[in-house]
Amino acid sequence: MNSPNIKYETILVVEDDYDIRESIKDFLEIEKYSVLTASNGEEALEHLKHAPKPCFVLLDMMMPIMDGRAFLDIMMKDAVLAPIPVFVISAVATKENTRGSVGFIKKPADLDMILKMIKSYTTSNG
Amino acid sequence: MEVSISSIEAYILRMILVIDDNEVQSSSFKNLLEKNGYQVLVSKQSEEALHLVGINPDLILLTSLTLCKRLRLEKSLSLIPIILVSGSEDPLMAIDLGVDAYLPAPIDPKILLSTIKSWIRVSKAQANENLYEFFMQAPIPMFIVEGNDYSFRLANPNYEKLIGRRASGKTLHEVFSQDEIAHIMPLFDSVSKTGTPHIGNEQPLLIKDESGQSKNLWVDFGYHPFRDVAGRIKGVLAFVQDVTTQTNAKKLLEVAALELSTQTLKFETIIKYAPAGIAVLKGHDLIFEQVNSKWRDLVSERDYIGKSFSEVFPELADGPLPKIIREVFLTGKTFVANEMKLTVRTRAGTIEDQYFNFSYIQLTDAKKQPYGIFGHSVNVTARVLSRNEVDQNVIELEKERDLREKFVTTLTHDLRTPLTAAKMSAQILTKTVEGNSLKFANRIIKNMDRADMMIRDLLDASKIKAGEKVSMDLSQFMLHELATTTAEDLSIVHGNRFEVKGSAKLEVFWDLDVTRRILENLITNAVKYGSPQTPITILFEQKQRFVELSVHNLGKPIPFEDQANLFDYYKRSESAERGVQKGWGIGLTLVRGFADAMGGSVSVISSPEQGTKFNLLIPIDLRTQT
Repeated sequence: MNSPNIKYETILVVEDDYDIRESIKDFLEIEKYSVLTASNGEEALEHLKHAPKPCFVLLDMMMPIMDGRAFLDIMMKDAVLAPIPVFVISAVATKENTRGSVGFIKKPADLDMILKMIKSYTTSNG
Repeated sequence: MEVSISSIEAYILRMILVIDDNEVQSSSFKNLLEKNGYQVLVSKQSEEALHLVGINPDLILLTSLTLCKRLRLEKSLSLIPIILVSGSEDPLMAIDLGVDAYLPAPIDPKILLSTIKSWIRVSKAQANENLYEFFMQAPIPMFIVEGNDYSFRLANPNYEKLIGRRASGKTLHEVFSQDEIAHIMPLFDSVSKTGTPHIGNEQPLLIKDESGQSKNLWVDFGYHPFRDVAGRIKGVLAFVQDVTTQTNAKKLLEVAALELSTQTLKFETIIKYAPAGIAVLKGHDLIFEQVNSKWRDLVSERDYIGKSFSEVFPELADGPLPKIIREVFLTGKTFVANEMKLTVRTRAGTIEDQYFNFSYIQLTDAKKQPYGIFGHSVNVTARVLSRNEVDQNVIELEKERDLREKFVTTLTHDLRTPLTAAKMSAQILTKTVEGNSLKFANRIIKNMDRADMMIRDLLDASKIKAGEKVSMDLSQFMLHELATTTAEDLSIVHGNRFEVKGSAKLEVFWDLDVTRRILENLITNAVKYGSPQTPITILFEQKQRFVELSVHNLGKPIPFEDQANLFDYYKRSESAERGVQKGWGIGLTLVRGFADAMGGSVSVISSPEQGTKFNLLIPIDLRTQT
């Protein structure tokens, strides 16, 4: 659904479960966002090395290889990455373990709630 | 000198030794003297005369000075009067040689007899004087009693000191009390009638001194018949020896010995019947001296007495115990062990690990020198093994519980992932379809949410059971509004039978989601167990810094015996179990867990008349709660 002529805002979805990841991706694409996906923190950091940088990150906490907490810690220390808002979607999210994020929602998350959150941090489609 | 003449009272037979070589003269002396009542021994002036001196004459009659000096040198004869009858010897020399009287020959028989008589009297008086002095100065208390009333003829100062009063010259009644006489008299009677001495050793003697104080004495005494020269018993001669000090010392020793043997007996009894094994090991080599039956039962049958520890327990010889015991003996430090594991040969002959409680204590002798050690031991193998078994069971149970909790957590978390994916897909569907398809998609979403609620309840109940507090996300909201919306949501399924009573303005600072779940659980319970069609009321009221929140239903009450464990995990009430309604059985556990987490409490009142009412009392603003 991406078109090279229209500049969509990019959302990075970091989630280890394929179905959830794809569902979020499908939903956001319906809502006219450009979506990057990663199945763990390490993959997500790879995406962030290259332009264009996403304007919003949706992050799961419990993931193999590099979990959400470790990913958040690296982002917070990086001057370039730190300003990008991260929103956590996780069954185990608490205020404490999501420190550095803009907020969290517990699974099973309501997609409309997620969309509302994204819109409050992004400029277009709002 | 025993003479058996009893009829002539005044007649006293005296013996005179006549030493004269002139036989004619000596026999005329003999005749004269015998006629006058003397016993006479005649001896020639030779060695033979000296052999006769052992007979102890009362007087010696000489006709020559030849033997005089030698006679005087003879000890037994030194005090016997010597009369010299001579016409030729020098009177001065005679006196020098110890002659008491010099009579010139020829002698008038009357003068001779008179001289003999007076010298014998003088001699006896002297002897009596000597005897009296000896009697009075004797270091042993002595007395003589005479006559029918046993008057004290003599009592020496030592005796008077002993009895604490004057006695000499007094009658028995003057000296002693009736009680004392009653004790003494039979003895005196016996001695004076039978002539048999009465000897007493360490006899008690109760004496009252001059001040009237009684004192208990112990005495040795001898009561002997006192005879006159004719051998007739005329009284009692007594000596008394105060042996109180010695006797008391001896009695003390006897008491001490008795005490010691009693103590020993006690000790033996304690050892014998003690409920624990007791052993005494003696000396530097620590040889078993004594063991009780419980000690013999400790492990297996063994010979103990006379053997060392290592000899009795060869299987322990290389272990630490022999060294430990030696240390106790040498240092005096008591060794106590609890459930010490020892590998020993058992009664069955096998070598096994067994457990013992021990104490080894140094024994010292009276001089505080190490004597040996005292061992005290109980075989606690059975106890330890059964406890180990229990411990093992507990560990297994804990493992199982941990596993179950981990299982619940993992399952619920993992279960949420596909639920989330399914819900999201259904949500996407609602964006793209219409009509029936939209209705179905919404139903999928609703049921995904229901499943998720159940998972969340399970997770929270599992947390509560593990003693963790449910985390709170606090916000300010109107309680009336929440109660109303919750009731409205539930009335879609259960019909419009809910009533909310409380101030519409009451604001609380609680976890909104947790509060809704409390209400949902209590309302659902009221629907399940209350009587159908009757109203269910949700009430709330501020009470100072608290809010009382209640859910009430009518119908059959909760049995009293079930109320106690109503809030326990997975314990649905007995009647609920019998009922047709199904559920996790964790609803009330969650309510109580939530109430705890909110710093409040929950209680229930249930009766046939009033129905059932669950009450929560929760602080109005949880931000101030720790």
